[in-house]
Amino acid sequence: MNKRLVSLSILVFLLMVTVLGCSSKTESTNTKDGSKEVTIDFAVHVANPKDQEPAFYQMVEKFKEKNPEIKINLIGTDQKEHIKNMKLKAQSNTLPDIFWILPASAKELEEAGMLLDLSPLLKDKKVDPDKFHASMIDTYNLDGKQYGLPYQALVTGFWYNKALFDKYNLELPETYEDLKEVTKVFKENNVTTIAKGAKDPYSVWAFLTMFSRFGYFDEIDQILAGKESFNNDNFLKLYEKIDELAKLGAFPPNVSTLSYFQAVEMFLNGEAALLDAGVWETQKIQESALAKDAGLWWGPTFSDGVGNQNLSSVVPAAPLVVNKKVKEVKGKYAAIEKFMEFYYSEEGAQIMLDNQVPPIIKYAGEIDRAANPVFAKVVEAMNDPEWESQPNQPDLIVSEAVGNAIYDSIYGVINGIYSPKEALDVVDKKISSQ
Amino acid sequence: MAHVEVQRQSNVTLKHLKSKKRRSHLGGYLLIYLITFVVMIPFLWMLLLSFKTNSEILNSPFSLPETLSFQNYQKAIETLDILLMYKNTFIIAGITIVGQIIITFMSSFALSRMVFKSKKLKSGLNFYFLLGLAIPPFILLFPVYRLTIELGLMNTHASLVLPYIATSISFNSLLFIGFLKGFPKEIEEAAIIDGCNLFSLCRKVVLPMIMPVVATIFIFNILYVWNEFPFAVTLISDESLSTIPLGISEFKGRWSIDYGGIIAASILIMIPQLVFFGFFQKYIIEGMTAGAVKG
Amino acid sequence: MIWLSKKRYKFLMILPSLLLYSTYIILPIVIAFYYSLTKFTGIGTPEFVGLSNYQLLFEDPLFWKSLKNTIIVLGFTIVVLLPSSFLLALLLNKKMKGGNVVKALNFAPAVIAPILVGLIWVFILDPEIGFINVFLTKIGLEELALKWIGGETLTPYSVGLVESWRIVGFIATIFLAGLTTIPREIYEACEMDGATSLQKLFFIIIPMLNETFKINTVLIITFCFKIFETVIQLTNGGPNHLSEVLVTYMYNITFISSEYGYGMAIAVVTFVITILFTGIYLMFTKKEIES
Repeated sequence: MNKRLVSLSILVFLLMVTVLGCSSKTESTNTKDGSKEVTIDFAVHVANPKDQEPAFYQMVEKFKEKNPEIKINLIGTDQKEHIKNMKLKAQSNTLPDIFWILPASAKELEEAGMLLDLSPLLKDKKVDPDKFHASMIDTYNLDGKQYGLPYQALVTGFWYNKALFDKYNLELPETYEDLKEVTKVFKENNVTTIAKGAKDPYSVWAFLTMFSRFGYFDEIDQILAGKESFNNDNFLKLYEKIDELAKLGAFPPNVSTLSYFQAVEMFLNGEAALLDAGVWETQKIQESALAKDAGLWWGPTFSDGVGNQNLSSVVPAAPLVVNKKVKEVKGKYAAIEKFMEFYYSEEGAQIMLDNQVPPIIKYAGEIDRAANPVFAKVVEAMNDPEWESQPNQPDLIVSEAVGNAIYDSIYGVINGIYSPKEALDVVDKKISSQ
Repeated sequence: MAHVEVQRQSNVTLKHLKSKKRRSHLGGYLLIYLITFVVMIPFLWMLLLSFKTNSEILNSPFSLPETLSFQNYQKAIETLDILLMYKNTFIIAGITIVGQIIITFMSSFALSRMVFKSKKLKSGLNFYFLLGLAIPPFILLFPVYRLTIELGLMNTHASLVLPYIATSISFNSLLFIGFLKGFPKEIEEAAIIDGCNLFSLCRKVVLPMIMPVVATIFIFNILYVWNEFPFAVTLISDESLSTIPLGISEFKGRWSIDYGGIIAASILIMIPQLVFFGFFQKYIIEGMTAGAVKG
Repeated sequence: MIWLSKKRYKFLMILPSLLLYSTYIILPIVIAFYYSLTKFTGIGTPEFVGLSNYQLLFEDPLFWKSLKNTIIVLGFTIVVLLPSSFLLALLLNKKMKGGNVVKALNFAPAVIAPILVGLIWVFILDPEIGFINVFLTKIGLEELALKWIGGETLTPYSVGLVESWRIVGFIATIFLAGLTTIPREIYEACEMDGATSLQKLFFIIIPMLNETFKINTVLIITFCFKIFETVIQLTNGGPNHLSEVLVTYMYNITFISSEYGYGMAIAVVTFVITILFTGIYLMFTKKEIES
């Protein structure tokens, strides 16, 4: 009788143990020391790379085809979760062999000594550093150690809809004054000038470039060191202009509840003249009714700005980094070396081009102008000799906490929650708490 | 619902009340159908949205779809290995629920019906088991991940089963203990005098009488497992073990969301749940009345 | 019962739950508390900083704002949800055509993926494009077209409304389970006595469901302190964190801003506040019953 009870609880335990036992067995069959075959665990930031990162996915497929002895185990997870998972794995020292990660986290991983130094690759010219656009490589170099290489080139700015400008007899703006003028006209005609969605706070790319036009990169080191304030005259000028734009009605009236995706739809639907976004929208725009009229603008220049105003934004995207432990497994390092070599080769660059992704290396390649007019215009803007890229995107060289505070401050002014001064103080406060 | 049946069979004297009852019931029916309809509006609307393209969804959410296109469904089926996901979810849900009902019933029975010398120990344990309800989500992720690795369970069904059972303990204890407290002592004592031991007392007397509670716990937890995302996405990276909630995230890119795909996929995921819920609830309540009559 | 209450039995009955629960649920709280005393980005070694995260917390206006929002959501949800789900359960308890279908349908909102709950309700609540305001403007009640979400004050109420909609079937199901455990004889007895429906409700059903009411209130309280996805999907805490609730704020700090130590401090405080609220409620009801 009471034996039954005992046996019941034992049974429950046994049940659990068997479940554990059985399942862990299947795990261990994954032998890592197969004499020839190597499997690389590769973790990326979208759940379904085939549809969402086609350029990358095709590159992996092509690589596998060329190197049948190398298996790539692609682990795709939604970005938020991916970042969280990488941190979890860093904590328990179970990072995948190669993975995508945000710049600030990559630096922290490097400082914790968990990443492989890739500089031998550059030295042997397997990945030729001279072929890269400026600053693409240096960004991920710390004390001579190359801890990562950019996943792609991050190209951001304002998409414009020329048809809307034409409709109201407006020229495409160049300076901030121009932008103000077109805003007034658009407002009168109930057209949104700049489509944006505050629900996704990170969607402030074109405004980040504007920071660079107010001397961000000259000052930021001093600011982070606590020697200067984020709330300085130059940045204040910028924030007062954002405030002015907001008051002129440049942004959608419900900007605080719009998501970035809704903002994109607004633009594609012809309801907004400009869209703050990046080159990843190329394909969508190309497939839309705007294909003939859309192009990329680097944003307004400022007469009271600091330094070169003709700044474009072609910067390294978040890096691919390699787990230090790959050297411990025979053949793994060689396989990763091979992959990197392929990824940054001209062949790789062409696959990117074919998918409307601007290549990271200097590579003219072939673009089918007739089929891809929007993308052709983007590449043209990228290669415009009159414009020089900002060295990096301002939020990518500070910690994630400060980066998010910058987003908040910009949207705070756009939403009308903060005055320009309050907004700058928000960032200062975050910096001082770091 | 079922009790009305019992009344009808057993109680002839109530017959004259029936016609009066019917009339008042009619208002009740209308009310309940109305409420159900209101609750369902967003759901029906979602059904409508599932036939629209992504930009139609965002641009004109209220209009009727221009054409009845099954494209979203087609895409959902192509993208997701739905059968595999169902299989994994079923395995995990099955083990989780059987395991948790057995162990939480045992502990709740002990904490509500059995005699403790120290009252403090009893109420202390009671309180301890309820603490889990107050735990904010996400703080479990790091430690559970670590634990899973230490136990060598990474990428196994068990890696999810154990935390699922653990997180259900508080909720189950709240329900079980709450309902067991009110269980009539006399029935229990009669059973013991009849020679029941602890095991048969639980199985043959107590459990059948609290079947509605078991059913409730069963339903809630199966739905919890069915929809649980944070643990699944953290602990499962092997595609062949992927569960249903992971499917939805397949439609979210870094800078794009395929709402059409998400809606279609979640409708495909939801319908079995609702069928299950309707079917199971009926079955359990019928089982309950049968058990009660016998006991 | 005393005959069967041997120590060994009790121990064996409780052990499996206790073991699993302690390792998977209680241990993580202890760990979270440890991290809350450190400065940590999630990578590398945590740096011990004592109670400074807690100090930071008390001076953080956004923490207080999210606490206030959480309490508004809680108050609103209890007031709306408790009566409506009870009413729903009473209605569902009748025998009717398609009863099971109706029950299942009322449960439907609880199984919709949160991302879609957000999508649908944004289309209803958005101040510009949302159904409510478009409708109000059309019938000439523009002054009633408020900023249901995206403004500075109303979002928590909207969150409460959406959450109530989402789990009304869930809570009603527990009431229903309670209703079905009331012995039939009691209904029959009072029907014989000629009690009216209302009398039956207030003198028989509600007192008999005392324990169920308690369970549901505890569930709603703890549930409200855990609301996450709805806020993320409706406003993402915006504008500028003004509609943040405790859990979303914690998530934001921990995973988006990578301030793990500070995030865990918020988590620990949230945990304690939830226990306090639940504890106060339980004490209050206990006294009431005794008196």
